[in-house]
Parts: sequence; C-alpha cells; structure tokens
Amino acid sequence: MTRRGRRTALAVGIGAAWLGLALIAAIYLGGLVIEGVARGVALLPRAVVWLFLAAQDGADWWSIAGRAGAAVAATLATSRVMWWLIGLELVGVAALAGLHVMLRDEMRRSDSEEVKK
Amino acid sequence: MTRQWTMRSRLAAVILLFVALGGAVDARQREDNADLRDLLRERYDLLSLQDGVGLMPRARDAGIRIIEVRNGAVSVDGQALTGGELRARLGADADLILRITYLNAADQRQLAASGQADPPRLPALPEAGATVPQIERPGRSRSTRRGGDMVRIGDNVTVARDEVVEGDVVVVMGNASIDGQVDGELTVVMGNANLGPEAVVRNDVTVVGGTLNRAPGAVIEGRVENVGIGPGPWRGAAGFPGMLRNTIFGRVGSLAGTLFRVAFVTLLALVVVAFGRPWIERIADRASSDPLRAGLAGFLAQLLFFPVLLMTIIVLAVSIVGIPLLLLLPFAIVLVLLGLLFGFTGVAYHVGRLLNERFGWTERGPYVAVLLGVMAIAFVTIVARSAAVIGGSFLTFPLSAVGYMVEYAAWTLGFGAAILAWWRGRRLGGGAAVP
Repeated sequence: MTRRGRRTALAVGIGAAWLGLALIAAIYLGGLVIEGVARGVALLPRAVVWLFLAAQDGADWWSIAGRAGAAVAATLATSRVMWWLIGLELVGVAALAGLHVMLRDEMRRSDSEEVKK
Repeated sequence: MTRQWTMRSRLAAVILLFVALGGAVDARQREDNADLRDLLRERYDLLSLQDGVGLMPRARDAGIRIIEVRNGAVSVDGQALTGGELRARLGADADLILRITYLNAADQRQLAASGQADPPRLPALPEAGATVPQIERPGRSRSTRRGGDMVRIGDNVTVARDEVVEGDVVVVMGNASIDGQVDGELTVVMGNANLGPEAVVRNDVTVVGGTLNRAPGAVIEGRVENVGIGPGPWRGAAGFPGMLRNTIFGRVGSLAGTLFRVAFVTLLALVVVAFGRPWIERIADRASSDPLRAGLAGFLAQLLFFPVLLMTIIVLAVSIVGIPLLLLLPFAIVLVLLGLLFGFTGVAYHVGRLLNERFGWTERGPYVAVLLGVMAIAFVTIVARSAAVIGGSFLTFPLSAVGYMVEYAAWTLGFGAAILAWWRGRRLGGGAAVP
C-alpha cells in the first residue's frame, strides 16, 4: 500500500470512529443531558420557591448552601447515577490522555521547526 | 322463699337487664358504626393500618393525600393535628373523622375491613412528615410493567390502563396521557398532563407551561406543581409540537429559524474577524495544514468538556464552601464558546479563501471570505430546510443529517485548530499570539 493509500485509510478509519463515537455520545449522553435539563427545568420553579421561602424565614446563606449540597450528594448516592458518572469520567480521562499526547506531539513539532529555522 | 333466694333473683334480674341493655347498646353501636362507615365511604377510601385507619379522599382536589387515625390521634399527610386544626382543614368532615377516634381498635379495624373486599395493610409511619407508603388500590390490576424512566422530547407519552412505569415519566414539548400507574415522578414541560380516572402517580407531578387535567379518581400521592404560562393560541389540543409539526407553517418556521441562526453566526464571525484577524488566519492555516489532527483535537476537547464541567459542579456543590465559586462557571463556559466561535470563524475563513481562489475572486477581503465560508458550510442545511418547505418532510431527514454533520465537522475542526494554534502560539510567543 502506498503512503497516500495508508493516509487515506487512516483518515477514513479515524473519520468512521469519530462519527461512531459522536453518534454514541449523541444517543446516550445526549439523552442523559436532555433528561437532566428537563429535570432541571422542572425543578427550577420549586427551587426558586424554596429559596424564596427559606430567605423569607431568615435562613442564612450557608444553611441554604448546605441544603443544596446535600441535595446534590443525595442525587449522586444512587447507583445508576454513580455508574453514569463513572462512565462519563472514564470518557473524560481517555479524552484528556489523548489530548495530552497530541499537545505533547505538537510541542515536539514546534521545537523541531524552531531548530530547523 | 328465703330472703337469700329473693336477693339472688334480684341480682339475676339486674344481670339480665344489663345484658339486655348491653346487647341493645351494642346493636345501636353497630348501627352507628355502619352509618359512620357509609358516610365515610361516600367521601373516602378506607384503609386498614396496623394501628388504626387510613382515609384517602375520593375528591382529588381536596389537596390531601391521606388522613390517618392512630391511637386516638389524627394526622393529615403525616402532620398531627388538633381538633380545631382538623376542623379548620376539613370543615364538616372533621366530625366524621373525630368519631373514628372514639372507636376502639377492634371497631376501627372492622370499619376499615368493611370498607373494602380485601383490605391492604400499610406499615406504620415512622414519624410525622414521613413519605406516605405505597398503597395498592383494590380493583386495579396492572399487567404490563416498564422498568426505568420514560423520557420523550417533542413526542407524546401514553401509559395505558394496565401499564406500570417503575421509574419517572419526563415529557418535554409533548403531552402525557396517564391511565395506568407511574411509580416515580411525572414531569411535563411545555405540554399537558392528562390523568385518567384510574391513573396513579406515586410521586410528585410537575407541569411547566401546560395544564394538568385530572379525571375524578386519579390519584397523585406526591405534590402537584403546576407552573402555567397561560393558554396561548399557539397551544392547541395536541400541544405545541403536535400543532406545528408537518404543517407548512412549521416547515417555514424551521427554514426561518435556520436562516436566523446562520445570520447570527455570520454576524458573530464577522465581529471576530474585525477584532482578531491574525488569530483567525493562524487558525485557518492550522486547520488547512493538518485537518485530521485538528479535527481529532477538537473532538477530544469536546469529549473532555462535559466530564470536566460536571465534576467541577459536583465537587464545588458537595463541598458547600465551593458553592460561591459556581458563579464563575458561566465565565468558563463563555470562554469555551469563544474558542468554538474563533475556531469556526477560522474554518469559515479558510473555506471562503478556497472559494475565492476557485472562482478567481482575488480582490475580495477577509469579511467576504468569512461570509462565503459560513454560507458554504450551512449550505446543505439551508437546502434541506428549503426542500422541506417545497417537497414536505420526505427529503428533509437525509439532507438535514448531512447538513448538520458538515456543520458539526466545521465546528469541531475549528475548535481543534484553535486549541493547537493557541498551544503553539503560547509555546513560541509566551501567550503573545493571543489577540
């Protein structure tokens, strides 16, 4: 296989993987994000009402923040959310590693170009 | 007949009299209990509790989930009330409820047991304000069970009479028709929630921008939150999306929306060119010299964005002391959006340059190049929307899919090129390259 052929095959492979991953992300993560947004929209009026009542009752800022933090922690305490979170963070770690490799390579390239100059 | 015999006879007569009176009182008491039961059953479903009686109002607009009578005390939705408070809350019904407290435990059980063929038994509530336990209503058997949540965007959801959804039902821009049972929460945003006579929602019902229609007999065991935005003329019986979907107005609206979006992005890109032209040229060169690499970098950065954002929010929120720092998050998001915009503008500029070369328009400036580039990138999407107006939705899907893919590729490629150009500029010029 010629160099041009190899490059084309690599480009096609990466493009296909890119599209596949984008589709998976759009279907699974997109659904999760939309669900989260929908719940957020539904919870927002309640949160505003609760915040207003809490402020009216004279609750201090830190007790309100404590309740909010506890609510987030309680949401995360379910196994389903935790698994989603772990999966999402694994994807993030993989992306970070890939980006790190690319930027390190970019640094090497710029160094070699500087040396050539 | 001795005096002793006379005394015994009198004692026996008195005992017989007491027995007769007791029987009469007992009979009267039973009649009273039956009357009480009938009166209660007109208004409430009676349930046998471990140490008392539970009453669920048949009229669901009462705003009460359950009234419990336990050990002579009355609580409404888990909150213990005094007689006065009960009268203020229930009105005339309070006397009926208070009459239950005069009954002994056996009569209370009898009262509840007579109220249903096979009375369900509820566990005792641990404390006031606790969640009301799940109650299986008699005569409602559900054969189909759906595990997990149901989430629909732009579509309607129907839960049939024999269905049980074990999770939440979330509908955005659509209507929810519930005739069966929902174990979780029911949330409808920009749509209507219609609860049939046998609908049971075990948790809260939230309707935002729509109406909640409850048939008599529909049960909501949680709270009801209905945030309406008024019955606008655009919201018909089928709901907002159902009204507009597949109509000429909807398709023209989609085309207008796409044109508006493209115009807005073009305007932003022109502003970016005006203020950061050297930076845009660098991104365009980077994107053209190694598109594969730039695209991959952009894709990885996109993958990294949500986990980092989510983890930051969680860590700051759970730590409580970090909650004020959440105010800085919008600035970080704006920074990422700026990176995306710079990247996209760079790609549009490069595409515009290629078109200028192709058609020999050598005297065109960078603004025209960006304008041409944005139009070229959005061309397929605009064609898809126009085709939908003319030829219906048949052509829309494949063309729209291609169009959005082209736009996504341009944004991703540009984002990666912006990251690589920034990295190299930072490396060579110590940040001097940043406009």
